[in-house]
Amino acid sequence: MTQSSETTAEQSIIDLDSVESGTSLWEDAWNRLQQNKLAMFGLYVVSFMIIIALLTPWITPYSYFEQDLDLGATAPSAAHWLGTDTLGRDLLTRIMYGSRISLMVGFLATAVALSIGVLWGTVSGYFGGRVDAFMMRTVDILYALPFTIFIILLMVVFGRNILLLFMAIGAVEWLTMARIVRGQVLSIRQQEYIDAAITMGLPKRQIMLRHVIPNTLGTIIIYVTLTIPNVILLESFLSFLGLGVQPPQSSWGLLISYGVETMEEYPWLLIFPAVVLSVTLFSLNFLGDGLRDALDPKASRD
Amino acid sequence: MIKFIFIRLLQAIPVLLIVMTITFVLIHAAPGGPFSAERAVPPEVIEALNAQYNLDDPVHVQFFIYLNNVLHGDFGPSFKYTGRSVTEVIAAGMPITFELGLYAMLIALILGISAGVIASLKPNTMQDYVPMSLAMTGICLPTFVMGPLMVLVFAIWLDWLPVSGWGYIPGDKILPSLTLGFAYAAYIARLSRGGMLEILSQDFIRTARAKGLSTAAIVFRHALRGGMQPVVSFMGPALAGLLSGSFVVETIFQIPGMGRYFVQAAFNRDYTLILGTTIFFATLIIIFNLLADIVTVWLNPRLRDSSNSSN
Amino acid sequence: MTARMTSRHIRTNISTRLFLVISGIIIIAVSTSCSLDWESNVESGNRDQILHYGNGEEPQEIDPHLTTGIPEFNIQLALFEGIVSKHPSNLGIEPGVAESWDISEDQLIYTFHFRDNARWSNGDPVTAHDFVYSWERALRPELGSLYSYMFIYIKNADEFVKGKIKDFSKVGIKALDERTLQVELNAATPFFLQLLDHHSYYPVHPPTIEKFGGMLKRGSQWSRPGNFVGNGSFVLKEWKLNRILIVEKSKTYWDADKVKLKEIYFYPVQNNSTEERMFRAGQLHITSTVPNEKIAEYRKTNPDSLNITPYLGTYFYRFNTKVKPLDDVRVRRALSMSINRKQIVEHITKGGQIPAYTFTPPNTNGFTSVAKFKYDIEAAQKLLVEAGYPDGKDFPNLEIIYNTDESHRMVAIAIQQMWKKALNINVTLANQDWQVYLENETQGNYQISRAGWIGDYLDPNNFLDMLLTDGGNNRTRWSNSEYDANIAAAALAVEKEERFKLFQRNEQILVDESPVMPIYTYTRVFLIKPSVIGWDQNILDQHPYKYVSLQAD
Repeated sequence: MTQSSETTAEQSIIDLDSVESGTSLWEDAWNRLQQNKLAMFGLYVVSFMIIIALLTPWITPYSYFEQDLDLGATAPSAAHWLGTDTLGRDLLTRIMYGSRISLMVGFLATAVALSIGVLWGTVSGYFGGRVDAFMMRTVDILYALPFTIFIILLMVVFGRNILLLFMAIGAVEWLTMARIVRGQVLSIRQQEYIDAAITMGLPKRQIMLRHVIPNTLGTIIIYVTLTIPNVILLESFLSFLGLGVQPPQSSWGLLISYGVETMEEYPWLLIFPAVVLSVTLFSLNFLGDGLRDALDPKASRD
Repeated sequence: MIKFIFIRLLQAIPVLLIVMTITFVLIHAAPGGPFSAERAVPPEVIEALNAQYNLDDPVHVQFFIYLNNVLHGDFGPSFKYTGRSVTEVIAAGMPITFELGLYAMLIALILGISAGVIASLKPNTMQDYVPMSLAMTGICLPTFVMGPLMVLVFAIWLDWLPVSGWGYIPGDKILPSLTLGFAYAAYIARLSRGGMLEILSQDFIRTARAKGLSTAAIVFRHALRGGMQPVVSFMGPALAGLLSGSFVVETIFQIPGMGRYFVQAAFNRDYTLILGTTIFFATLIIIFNLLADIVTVWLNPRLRDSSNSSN
Repeated sequence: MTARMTSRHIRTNISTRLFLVISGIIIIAVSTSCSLDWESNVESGNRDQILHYGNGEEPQEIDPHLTTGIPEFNIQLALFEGIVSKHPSNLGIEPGVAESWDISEDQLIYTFHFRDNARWSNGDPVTAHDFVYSWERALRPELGSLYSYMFIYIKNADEFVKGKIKDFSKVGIKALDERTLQVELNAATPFFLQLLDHHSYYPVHPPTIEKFGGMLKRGSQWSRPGNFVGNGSFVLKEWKLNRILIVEKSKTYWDADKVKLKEIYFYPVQNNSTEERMFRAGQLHITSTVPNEKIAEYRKTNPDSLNITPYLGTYFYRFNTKVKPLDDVRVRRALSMSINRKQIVEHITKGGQIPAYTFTPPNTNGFTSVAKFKYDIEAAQKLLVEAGYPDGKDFPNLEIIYNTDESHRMVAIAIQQMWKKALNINVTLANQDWQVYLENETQGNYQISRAGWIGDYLDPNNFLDMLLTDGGNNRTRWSNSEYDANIAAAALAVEKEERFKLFQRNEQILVDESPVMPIYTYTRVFLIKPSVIGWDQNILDQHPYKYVSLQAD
């Protein structure tokens, strides 16, 4: 168990080099993940949510826009398992339709933020110096720009469009990701195995892709699990600005923010969407933590 | 280190200039204007108004007039709050927002880091699940849910605390600080748990453990230093965000801070107030990202040499 | 090694101390707040005659010539007094600064006689010259008053605003002496006296205005506590941005004996849920509004606190009459005939609103339209067949725009569904930021838009002249020469019956042509503690504070 740091550096390089040669690392990770019950539970729940979202148009008992004004808001019953909203629409159906929007926005916008943020942060942190200064000051500038006006303009110029939604969310969410990745890269770059890799004459791209990024994965995964809920909720703010989904469509974020307004009169309108969101987020976190453990090259030797 | 800070402050000048320029272009491109009203106004009146505020000049002329004023410390009059300067509007809200941000930050750091560290010491046990699940509620219940919910429970049902205000009735600062603090605590908890796990699995910690050091000694002497890196990177922008105020929390609790201006000035097309708050926020971003970078260097002793050499 | 030890020592020390201090703070804060059983605003206010009023938004300004909003007017009503004022319940014209007035036979010349004890808050008498100065200020285009159009009934006022006349002495406003003011109108204007109570007609104190930058300075500091001089029953005491504005009883007001309130606290509470919670916790006597979903609960458990008053305003949709298929009158009529207004007010707005089948609210100063919009799905379907869209076939997808607001959203969703069911047509909804919405609406860049109109004065003209060809508030691009001629004729008519006949005809034209679709007549729904006395219901929701008092328990 007690190894000297020199051998660790060697070891890491050897471990990581196996990525090049084959898929053994991923296979190992998958095997380790399967042993983590909580993570597998998370994976099942998330997959279940995605499948339900995909099948929604064929399996919902009611239409998501059909109103029954005389019925109004009713508590959960045999006819409406999760109750109805103030316009008499079936809440279960609306949550299911909302999941299509929310999950899509959550995953796709996070993917946009993830790819830009990781790339930007890695390059910035790895090269340091002027490159770092330029790239990080760009991040500062983008942070500071007034977001609300930006969204309004985006709408005016391009009209309402789901792609725009991802762009707008991605445009803000990648910034913190980039800063966090850069911070990690800065400290990883100081590790002996990177020095060793440089001495061995490996090309920079290879060092970054094979040695630096994999070692930031743990933090990245955690931040991804934090970004997804953020994105899902940001979507409801954008809907209020006119971007995002428009009625009668809905999303989890919108259902929750309307639910808050009536939480005393019709508590189910807040509770059920919030529970569904929470279950999904908890599962994503279990899955994320499991993935983090499974992908941690050092932990693998335990 | 002084040289490093000096260079960063020099870099702040172009950053601020670019932010100002882009913002200026953005707001003038946005539809509507500070004098649009629901009821029709005679064009002569609109012309007179535009002339009074130099809005009839070409945009680049307006920009240089504005820039010149800013360099002389004049951020102009607010369009919406007639008769108040942007400086006055920001100065009125800033102390309140800073105070709220400070309490929220303390709550977030104390709750977040302790939860994260405690959880990381025994991963995948109850000692991990309980604090992390609590932290998750801060994510699952965003401020716009948490705020009204806490008011309902603690102010209306239990009648322990006031429903709104800031410094009017004893105890009215508690709920807004907690609401804002919880949201950030959740992030910090997860990031510090992850950072700690990463460090705790490293060999020098194993070595320390093997030497028989106590857990507390390992955590405080060795692990926190590296384990806090993700939190530090996150805290730069997060602190700037906290100290510029939260639209949601200030609205729910009726707090006269400056957070709401970031959204409302945009809705009102209050050009000067948008620019003023943007410059203010940009300055905070620059300062706190600089601080975060200084702390990053301090956390990574080996970076100190390289940062000196590369600059 | 020692250096390392001490630094670690200090660090742990700091964190321990920090932890202790903070937990200390939290414990003290929690315990003090729990042990103190503070008195609510309402309790202390009832005792001390201090009214706590939820006023919606932060006032943009309190200068009566520069503001346009209702929150501002609520404050101005306390700080200023017009030449005349209104009765708190029946809205009849009452003496204000003027104790009497004469109207010439042809109703063109009004002569006002000022009371000798009308005073500014600094003790100066309120003179006719002050009014001439104030109205010139309101009309000078350089000042940029957004409400200068309220003066167009006065001779040459419109020309002066538009810069066609530069000499103010040509405008029909004259001070005959210190205490006599004469106003000359373009035509008989039966509602003229009502306008005098509008904030744009309020006087300002000329020496104060001059002291802080002169007549034409916008954003002058004259309206700040300490500088402020007004002639109302209250005077400005304190104003903290976005927190509170406090007015206190004026000692110099001519009718000060009648004023019972000592102070009024205006709170700018924007979020209506927050406001409702503040009301429930006893922080407010009166709110500006109530969330729709809370109305039923108050009606059931706390009806004494719920106030629902008819309000002079129409909630309607505009049709852009120049875009297909809305250029076809049959389509517009079909759309208007196929919405169930009764369901909308009962299940969505829930605040006792009245389904609107006419554009001018019923009984506006005695006028109720005979012609009515109808709810008749079968007829609507027939009209759509005639227009070439049987069962909604090939009907283009239309869009309703509305500014972001919960209630607008719900109404639009319901209407979307009603049209789908009745006519089998699809419309999409688009909520827009207020400014984008305004821009699109004024430029005709829309198909259907949500709108509302709140009357400034009690006369059908206030509603009907909105739809004049190319009128600034028309925005439907609809034009009808007979309609325009009727409005012009009504402006010249002296007899009430003659005017109302012309207005009746115009309401009929609106039903036939349907450039707009009335949905409901507004009500003002707000919460009020039963301890507030003298807050009489009226259709303008205007409550002169000198009649208001608080009842201690």
